[in-house]
Amino acid sequence: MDDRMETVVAGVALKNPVITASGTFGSGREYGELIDLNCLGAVTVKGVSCEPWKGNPIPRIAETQSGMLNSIGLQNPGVEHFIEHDLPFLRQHDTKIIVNICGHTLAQYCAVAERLADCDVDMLELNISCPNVEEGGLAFGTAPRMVERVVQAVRHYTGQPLTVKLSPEVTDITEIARAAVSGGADALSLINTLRGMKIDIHRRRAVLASKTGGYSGPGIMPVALRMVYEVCKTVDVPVIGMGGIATFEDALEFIMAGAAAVAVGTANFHNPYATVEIIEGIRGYLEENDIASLDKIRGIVD
Amino acid sequence: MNTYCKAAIRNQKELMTGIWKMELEAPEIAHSARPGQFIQMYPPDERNLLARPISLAAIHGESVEVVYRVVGKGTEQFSRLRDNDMVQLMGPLGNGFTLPEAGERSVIIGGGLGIPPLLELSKRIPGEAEVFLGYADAPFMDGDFRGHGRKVHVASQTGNGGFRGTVLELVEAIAPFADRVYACGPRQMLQAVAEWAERQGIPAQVSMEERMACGIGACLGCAVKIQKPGEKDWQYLRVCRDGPVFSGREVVWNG
Ligand SMILES: Cc1cc2nc3c(=O)[nH]c(=O)nc-3n(C[C@H](O)[C@H](O)[C@H](O)COP(=O)(O)OP(=O)(O)OC[C@H]3O[C@@H](n4cnc5c(N)ncnc54)[C@H](O)[C@@H]3O)c2cc1C
Ligand SMILES: Cc1cc2nc3c(=O)[nH]c(=O)nc-3n(C[C@H](O)[C@H](O)[C@H](O)COP(=O)(O)O)c2cc1C
Ligand code: FES
Repeated sequence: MDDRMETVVAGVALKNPVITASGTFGSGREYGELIDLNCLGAVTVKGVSCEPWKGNPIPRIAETQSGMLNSIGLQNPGVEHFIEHDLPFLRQHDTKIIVNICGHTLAQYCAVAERLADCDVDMLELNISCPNVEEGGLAFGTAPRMVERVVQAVRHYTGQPLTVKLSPEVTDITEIARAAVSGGADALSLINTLRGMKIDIHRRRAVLASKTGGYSGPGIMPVALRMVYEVCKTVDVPVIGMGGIATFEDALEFIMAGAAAVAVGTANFHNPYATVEIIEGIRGYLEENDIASLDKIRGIVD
Repeated sequence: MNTYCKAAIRNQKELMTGIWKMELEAPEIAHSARPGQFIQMYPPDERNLLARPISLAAIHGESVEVVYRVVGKGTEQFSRLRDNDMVQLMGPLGNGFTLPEAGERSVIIGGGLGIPPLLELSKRIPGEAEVFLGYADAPFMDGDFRGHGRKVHVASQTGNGGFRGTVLELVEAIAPFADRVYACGPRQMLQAVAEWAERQGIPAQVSMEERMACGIGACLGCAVKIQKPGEKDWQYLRVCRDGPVFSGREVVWNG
């Protein structure tokens, strides 16, 4: 292991700070045919709910200038399927496993956390910020008192390290971050997608069947970076920064803003080797500048 | 095996207004590709983040051929590339067509830009196959199918090239006898083909399209409603990974 690259998030030691963002990497199987999953700091899997969810109608994807919209709606085969099929596959690799969990109700969030409590996973990521489900999702993630309640409830069912994934669709991200921490979050992940829209002027209708969807990709990076910066200044727990990261330079910006680790999402679609190139790029930067560990530059921007 | 690679462009040419053909020198892809599979083509302008799924029209020794229509930003950029320019690709992707058993007779039905993806299939079917091609107006590539000895029937909305009407009306008029049906084209056409095949009691393999992000099965963007025999309910499968070729009988067409 390369000590320079090692990163600890909520007590979990990652070999490097590069993680895949939930929903963009499946359960790792497909990208594993192209890249070596053992290179990654961690894999965050697609949102898992207690029962299978069918997801939203098609079309679910729209390209925008320097970004994209999605309205997948957390389609997933449920936690039992995850435990039986995906977890054993991921466990064959030398990388950490972060399970993104979702629900329509408080009870559903708790049920997934409880089911995973004894499983061999490294961290849970509580998604209270999906713009693509009508109940749950964003509704839980935008009011500080609600955020605190959900986190507290889920915390009760699991002793595993817990990161809470925040939505950028709030007036004051630091207030939400504090609420999540006081609810018991060991770490925070941000940001989830922003709500966006695309209209086909020839057909004169929205491209997405759900009309609106989650906006991700390079276009959102300045917003994400600002929010990570603000949150890192406000709370003491580690932050997993994400939103538009496509190159190692982007990743270093997040780390200099204070992020403990970074997650790469949409960039995987544009370049399946993005994560590997980012890891190599960060390593090269540290070597060239003779920086002994990431801690030396983390949060260096005041 | 799926590879992410750069390919040199050879013989880019406009077959007719807005429809282009190019050869891509990509040995890794050519060596493992099967008819009915597709590739992801990345637009050269990096502001267009998502790759464009394009079917393989032909597979040669070291290269593959694609035929595409310019409809938007990405395909417009492809059409401006010149011979020897490089383009980023990923592929081959998806499951191709299943070839017929020895002695079986096939019917191949293509509509518009659904025609090129059937060419390599037509070449590789060992037995008898009758080809039905539907166009909006002037035919293209019909000669390629005749070139390897297939009997080709052409329909078009304007009557240009023979029969005036839809390709399915032509199929019904000729009423070919077949053990297998292969189809690619607009969704409505595929539905009509699937229903026709069902009435004849013949299995149909239809190649579907949907908007894609990853192209490899990870993002669940390219969903299609499928109901498997014996299952109570439909489910969303992935066009890129579970398709693009599906059994016509299993696609939930309405809704
Ligand atoms: C499996 C598969 C095989 C295909 N094979 C061919 C082929 O051989 N020849 C051909 O001409 N076309 C083919 N298509 C359609 C082709 O992918 C689209 O025409 C193309 O993506 C349009 O890109 P654009 O940038 O020009 O259009 P834009 O409208 O600018 O594209 C915007 C976004 O929408 C997506 N999109 C737009 N139309 C479609 C569509 N019909 N299907 C999927 N995504 C779409 C684009 O990929 C892009 O992400 C195929 C589609 C699929 C799914
Ligand atoms: C297709 C797609 C699916 C996603 N699914 C999930 C999900 O299941 N759970 C979740 O918490 N975030 C999900 N996200 C959000 C990403 O994890 C990430 O927070 C966001 O896309 C911003 O990062 P990016 O710009 O690098 O993609 C999804 C994003 C995309 C593009
Ligand atoms: S395009 Fe991502 S699953 Fe098909």
